[in-house]
Amino acid sequence: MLKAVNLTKAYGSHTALDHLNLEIQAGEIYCLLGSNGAGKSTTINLFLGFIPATSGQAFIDGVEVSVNNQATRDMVAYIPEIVNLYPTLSGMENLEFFSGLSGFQYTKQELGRFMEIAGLQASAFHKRVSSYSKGMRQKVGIAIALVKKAKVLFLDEPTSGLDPHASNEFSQIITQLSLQGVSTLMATHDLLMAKNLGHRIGIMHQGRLKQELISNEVSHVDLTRIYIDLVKEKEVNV
Amino acid sequence: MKLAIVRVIWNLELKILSRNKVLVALFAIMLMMLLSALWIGNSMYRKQEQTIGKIQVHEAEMLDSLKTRIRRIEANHMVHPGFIWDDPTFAYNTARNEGPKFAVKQPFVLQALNVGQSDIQPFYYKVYINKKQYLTYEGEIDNSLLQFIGNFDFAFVVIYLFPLLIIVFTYNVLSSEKEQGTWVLLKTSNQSIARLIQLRVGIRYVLFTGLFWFLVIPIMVTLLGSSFLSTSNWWWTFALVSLYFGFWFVLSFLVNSFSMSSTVNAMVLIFIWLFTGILIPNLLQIGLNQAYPIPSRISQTNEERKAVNKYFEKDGQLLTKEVFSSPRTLIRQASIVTPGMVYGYGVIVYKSQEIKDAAAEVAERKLYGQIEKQQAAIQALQLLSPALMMQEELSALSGTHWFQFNAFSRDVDQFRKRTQQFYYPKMAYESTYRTFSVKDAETIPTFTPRSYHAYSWSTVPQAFLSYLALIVLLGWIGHRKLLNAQR
Repeated sequence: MLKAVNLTKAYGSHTALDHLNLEIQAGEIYCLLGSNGAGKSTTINLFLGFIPATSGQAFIDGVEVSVNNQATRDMVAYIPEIVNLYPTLSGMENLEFFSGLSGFQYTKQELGRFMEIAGLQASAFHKRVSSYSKGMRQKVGIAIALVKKAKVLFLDEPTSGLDPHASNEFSQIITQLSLQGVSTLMATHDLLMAKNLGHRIGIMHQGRLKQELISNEVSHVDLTRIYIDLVKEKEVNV
Repeated sequence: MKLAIVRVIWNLELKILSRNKVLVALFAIMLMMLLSALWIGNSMYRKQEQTIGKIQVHEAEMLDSLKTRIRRIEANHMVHPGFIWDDPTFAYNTARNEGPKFAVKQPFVLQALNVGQSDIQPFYYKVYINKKQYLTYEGEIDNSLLQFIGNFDFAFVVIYLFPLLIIVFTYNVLSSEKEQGTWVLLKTSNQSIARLIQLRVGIRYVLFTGLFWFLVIPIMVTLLGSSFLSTSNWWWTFALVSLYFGFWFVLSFLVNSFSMSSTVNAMVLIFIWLFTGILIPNLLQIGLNQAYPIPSRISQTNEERKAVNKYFEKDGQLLTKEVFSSPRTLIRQASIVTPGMVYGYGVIVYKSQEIKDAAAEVAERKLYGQIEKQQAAIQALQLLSPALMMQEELSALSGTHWFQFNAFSRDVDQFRKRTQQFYYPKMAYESTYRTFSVKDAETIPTFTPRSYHAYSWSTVPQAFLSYLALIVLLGWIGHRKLLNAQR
């Protein structure tokens, strides 16, 4: 579903992403781990077409992002660290707008159902987003992804700042979507979440994908050790 | 772009705009100002109509009085019991006293929208055979054409204040998306960002302009009646104001397309407003007055005086000799005023008036020549300032442009000449001197009032096309910029 071939992004002499090769299957959850500036967000931005690649290609369902960004956008949903919505609109109105923008028309009941699936309480549907917590905004973000029937979900530090309960709810929804065939590429610092949620984990450092792990084949302790060793080793080299 | 998307954006805009308390308050304040401006314009229009009504009554009373007095003298064997200079049977006396008629420029209904020059230029003159109408005023002559920002009227609010409201309405259409973070979600939608922003600005334009006319037209109909709706002047006004708003919306769209912050957008737009709306017209005013200075009123009067003095120093002696050598007009020797003196004085007045008028025409040609040069320069340069162009065209459509007052003034000149031609033969009729009858009183020339609202001389269609071209050009540039930003 997702494929990166020698995907590279350089800003002058600084290489933010260095020849990334990656393939993610339908329904797979792939977690990118790495410290700040490792290239996780750059990877997501390249797949979304927000920034042009310096070299290499990014494909979504076989369509090259740089060639037909309009078509690839149809297939994706993006949930950033902070989901920013129109503050003077309610969660329901925001959902209605973004679903309409994606060309989908739903009744209020159907939209309400999506909000419920995303975990938002009915009492919050019609409150203005300016009064929402970060977790509630994330849920509206998920609902937007749901109404769009996205094939691929990009998540950039989605649980950062969420309480454990909200974080757990979020993981459950992503797992559900995975079961429905939605591929997920998630950038995170949260090793535990990556271990529990992801099918595969990629560890990035200084723009390079240093190691790929299968979640089921590695314990949390091992993952932590591998991660720290990789990052430390590189920092020592630097 | 599908109609469904237009509906989605329309709903979003309605919600976002109606919930923006600052914007709603500003719009309400502007509408209050517009209402006040309409009321002021309408008051001035009504006041002029009332004045014209009083003039008509006054003229009828004067004519009645004149005829009554002539009849009384005729019935009394041509004996006038009072002062000889008041005897209306002398044409010269009537020409000075009850005879002068008013020339009136009828106010046009759309004058209520644009006071224009109507509060500076006289809309009526009492036309004398001697005094030139504009010399009955004591103030210095200015080209009021260059006083671009005039009264607090509808045109002022629309041209100078509404662009500020439009700026508040649109300065952050794109930048707010970036600043509040919704830009990211918009970019992952499957719509073109350039089209989305265009559509949002377009919808705001339709909402703004639609609401504006929706409120203004009923107010105008209430104040002015509905007759203006059937004039082409009104429909041009409607089209130009709508396009002028469109220009500011598109300009804001263009500034937005440079993807700067909301603060920078607002500053750039305010600067453009100040530069094109205030600075350029003022620079033009100073520059044109320097390039084509207007002769002073004193110089006009001096020109006349010099011409008269010159005449009396040379050829005028012949005239006085001719008039006063007559045994019937021994004015110099007489201890009382005789009919011959009145006759003779009248002849001197009209002979010298012809000389004064000829001299005044030379001075006038200088004055109007300069003003016409200024006018031509403004027409050539008005594209530098959309506000100035709008002011020019709205004045023309309201019948309050300098050009229209000038046309009125020229008609008054013609009317004055007609009046002189009516009185002069009667003043110079030597056999009895006292020739002015009731029949003459009834045939004193009168001025047919007109509103001078024709605008075929103006650049209204060119301005329409200019605004349209500007909107298309700026819109296209903005669209290109946004497409690039999207990539």
